Amino acid sequence: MPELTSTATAVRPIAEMALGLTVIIPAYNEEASVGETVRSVLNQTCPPGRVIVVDDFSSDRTGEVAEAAGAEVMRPERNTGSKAGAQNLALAFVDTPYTMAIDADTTLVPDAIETLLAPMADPAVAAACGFVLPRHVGSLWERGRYVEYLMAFTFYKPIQDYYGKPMISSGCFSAYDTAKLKAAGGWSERTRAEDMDLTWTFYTHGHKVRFVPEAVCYPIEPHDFDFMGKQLKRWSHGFVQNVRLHWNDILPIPLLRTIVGVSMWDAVIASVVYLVALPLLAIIFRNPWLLLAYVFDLPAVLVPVLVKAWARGEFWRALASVPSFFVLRTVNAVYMVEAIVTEVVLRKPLLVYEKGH
Amino acid sequence: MNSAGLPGTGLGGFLYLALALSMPFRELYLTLRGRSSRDRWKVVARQFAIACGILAGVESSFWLLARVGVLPQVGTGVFLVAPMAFSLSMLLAVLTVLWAWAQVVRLRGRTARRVVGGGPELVVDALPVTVEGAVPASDVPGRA
Repeated sequence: MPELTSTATAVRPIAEMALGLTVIIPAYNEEASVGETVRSVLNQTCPPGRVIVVDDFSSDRTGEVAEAAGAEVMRPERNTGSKAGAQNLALAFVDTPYTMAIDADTTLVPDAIETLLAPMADPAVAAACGFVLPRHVGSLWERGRYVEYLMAFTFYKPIQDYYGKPMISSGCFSAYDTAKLKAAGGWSERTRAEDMDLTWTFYTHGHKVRFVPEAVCYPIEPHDFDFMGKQLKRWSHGFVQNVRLHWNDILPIPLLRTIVGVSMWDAVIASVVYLVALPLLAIIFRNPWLLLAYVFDLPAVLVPVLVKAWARGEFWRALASVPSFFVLRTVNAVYMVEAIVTEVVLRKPLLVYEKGH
Repeated sequence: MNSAGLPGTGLGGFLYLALALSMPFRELYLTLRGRSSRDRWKVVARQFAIACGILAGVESSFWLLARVGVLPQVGTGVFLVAPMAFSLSMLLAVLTVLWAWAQVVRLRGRTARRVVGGGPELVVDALPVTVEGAVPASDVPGRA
C-alpha cells in the first residue's frame, strides 16, 4: 500500500484507462464457461477497449462461443502447450497501455475492472491483482479452497500489500502495465507457475505490485481429487521452481525474501510434521489427543475466515467448509513433499502444463 | 496460483501475525511524518483487529482444552506466551539465516540466474496464428 508523498500523482479517469485496456482470456476447451466470462468482462462499469480470447486449439466450440459473446478470437494452428503460451500469443497484438489476464472460467463483479485499474495510475505499479473466491462451493475440494482463499485474501494478502510486497499477482485475474509486462518478457513458460514468476520478476525490476480487495473474481475451482491433484502438482512444482529460479535475485529484497523464505520453511516443516511426525508421535506415545495438533491453528483460521464470510453473508457456509480446509492442507503437504523431492533431490522438473479442469 | 496451495500456517502464520501487530506502530510513525491517510488507518485497524482476534481465539481454545483435561491447567496467558516465545525465537533464527544468506550472496556478487528445466524463455512468435475478428497491433513486425 503506497505511503502518501509530497509529489501529487496525476489521476487519470478510470473509464479512460479502461479504454486503454486489452483483456486477454486464454481458453482451451472452455465452451461451458468462456461465454459467461466474456459477458462478465463486457458488462463492467468501465468496459475494456478490447477483449481477446485465445482459443488454444480447442476441440470444442470455445472459439464460437467466445465470438458470439462479443470477444475477438485468436486461434493458433496448434495448441501452445500452456496458459502462458496462449497469453503471449495475444500479448504480441496488444498496443494498449494496460493489459489484463483473466482465466476463461472466471467471472468478475461488475466494478472489478474499475477498482483494479485504480492503482495502475501510479506509474511505478506494474501489476494489480484482486480478491479470488471459488464460484462454486460444493465438494470437499471446493470448500477447502474456499476457506484457503478467504484466509489468504482477508489476512495475508492485505498485510503483504500494506508492506508493499504481495507475494503473487494471481494469474486468474490481474492487470498489468503493458510496457512493463513486455519488458519482463511476457508470461514465461520456464516454470509451472507463470504468475508467481512474473510477479517476482517485476519486483527484481524494481516495480510495484498491488492487491485490490474490492476487485472480486470468481474462478471455477477443481471439484474433484483428480483435477485438484493436477492443480496442486502444478502449483507446488511451480513454487519450488520459482524459488530456485529467483532466489538469488529476491534475496536483496528484505520483505520478499522473508515471505518466500518462511513460506518455503513452512512448506517443508509443515509437510514433515503433518505426514510423518504427528502420526508417529501419536503411535509412539499411544495418545490420540496428539492428533489434535492437526487443527492446532483452528482459531487462526477461523477468525479471518469468519470475519470475511460474515461480511459477505456466508458465515454458515464458511463454518461448514472449515473441516475441508484441514483435509486440503494435508493433501497440499503430500504434493509439496513430492515437488521438493522431484525438483530438488531427483532434479526432474515438471515440464508439462496440465489444466486444473 | 495464490498463497493457497502451500501447507502450514505455523511459522508463516506467526510472521503475518507479527506483521499485523506491528502495523499500528509503523502507521503512527508514518502519520507523524505526514505520510499516512484515513484509508491506510482503516486497513491497519482491520488487520490489527483480526490479529488480536486470532490471539484471543488461540488462548481461548487452549483454555478450553485445559478445562476438559487435554492440556494441563496453567495460569491465564501462559498458553499464548510459551508458543509465541518459541515461534518468535524460531522466526528470528530463520530471518537471521535469510539475512546472512543475502549478505553472502551480495558479497559474492552472484547475479547469474539459474534456469529451471531448460524451458523456453518466451514464445511470442513461436506459432503461426489465425485471427478471427482481431485487429493486429501495427507495431508487431510481420503481423500487421
